[in-house]
Amino acid sequence: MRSEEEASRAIEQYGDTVRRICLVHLKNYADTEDIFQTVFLKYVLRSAPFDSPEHEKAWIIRVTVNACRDLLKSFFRSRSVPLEELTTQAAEMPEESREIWDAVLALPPRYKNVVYLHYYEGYTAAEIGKILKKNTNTVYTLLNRARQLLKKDLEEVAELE
Amino acid sequence: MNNPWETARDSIHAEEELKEHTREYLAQKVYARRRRPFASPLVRLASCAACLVLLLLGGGYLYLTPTAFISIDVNPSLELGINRFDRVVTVEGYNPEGEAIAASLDIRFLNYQDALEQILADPELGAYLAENEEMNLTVASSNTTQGSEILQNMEDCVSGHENVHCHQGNSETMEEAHSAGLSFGKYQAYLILQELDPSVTLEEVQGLSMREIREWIQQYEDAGETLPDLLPGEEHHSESDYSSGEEHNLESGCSYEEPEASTEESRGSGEHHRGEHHGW
Repeated sequence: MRSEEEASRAIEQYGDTVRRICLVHLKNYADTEDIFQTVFLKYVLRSAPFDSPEHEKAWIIRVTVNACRDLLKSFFRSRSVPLEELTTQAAEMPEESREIWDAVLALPPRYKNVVYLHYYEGYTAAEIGKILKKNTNTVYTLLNRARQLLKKDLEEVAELE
Repeated sequence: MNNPWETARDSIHAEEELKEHTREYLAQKVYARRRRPFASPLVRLASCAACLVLLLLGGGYLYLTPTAFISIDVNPSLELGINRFDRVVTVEGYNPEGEAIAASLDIRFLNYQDALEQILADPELGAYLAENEEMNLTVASSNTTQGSEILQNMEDCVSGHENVHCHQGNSETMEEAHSAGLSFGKYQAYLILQELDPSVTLEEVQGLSMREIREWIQQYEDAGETLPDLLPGEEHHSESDYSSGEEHNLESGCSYEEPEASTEESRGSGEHHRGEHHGW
């Protein structure tokens, strides 16, 4: 079991990443709190050491993605307010960023993770494959299809690629 | 380099409030106290239930286990098992008449004194007493304090009745009596009789009333035989209770008959034919 200091450090270091993944998958703030608690509780309870900081981050991401999926599958959830969370921080967001987030959120669920990890976090397809336990080729395929969908929404994205 | 993805990413942060709540959650759930193993609610519930069952079983055992026995012998022979709280927990008849009366009584869980009063007031039993039978009450207990106390209370209880005797015995003899199928009082009498006449069998004695046994013993006395020495483990008084006409001032025995009266009575009933017993 990890100490309170370690937990605090992890929250500081990976809080933003977890938050963004939650943004991509979840619909309300209460669920985000839920995921945070789940993820960092698991972190604290994991006694095995991490090979490297990258390993640690990848682990956190995987746990977060799985937690989001479990939450969404959970029978007792009420699928309530859509896109509420985006609005909380929307005021500070530049217009362009806002459009990008909207576009990503509009994607079908199976693309959201690969898009986030590739475009927002900068992981390669191979790395994404390891994190999400998917075949590298599958990841490539997903990214391509996602790109096409996004292209429809965001002309700038196509230009930047 | 203005990567719009990076910009978009950096525009979203984990709120301070969110991080704080998470830290608090962890503090409470993990760091506040060491979690005991088996803290899951189901296991806790199961162990509470198990404890409760054990307590009930233990309490039930304590409550329902007799620690003293009161043997009531007239002709009917029955025995009350008294628990450590002075309540009647078992009622057993040791011969057909005893069983009949036992079945008709509803004295379980009464305090033994109330139970005794009810028994003394019982009309069937009263019928036997009216025929000049004797009632013998014998208490035996491995707990001598309780035994003495019960004896004391029994004496008070029956003080208004004639023809009732109280005795005390010990629990080893009690067990012998039970395994022989006799109530304790009758067994004591049987032992005395056996010393006088070794040919006496249990079956013969079982059908007799206490008065008849007494008369039988009396006949030996009248014939000049000395009464047997104290049987091992018997209380001193129990022998003298079965000898008629003698005063005895031993503290734990009680007899409410006047010496002359008892002599008369046993002589008088000597002529009272009771069938086979007098014909041997």
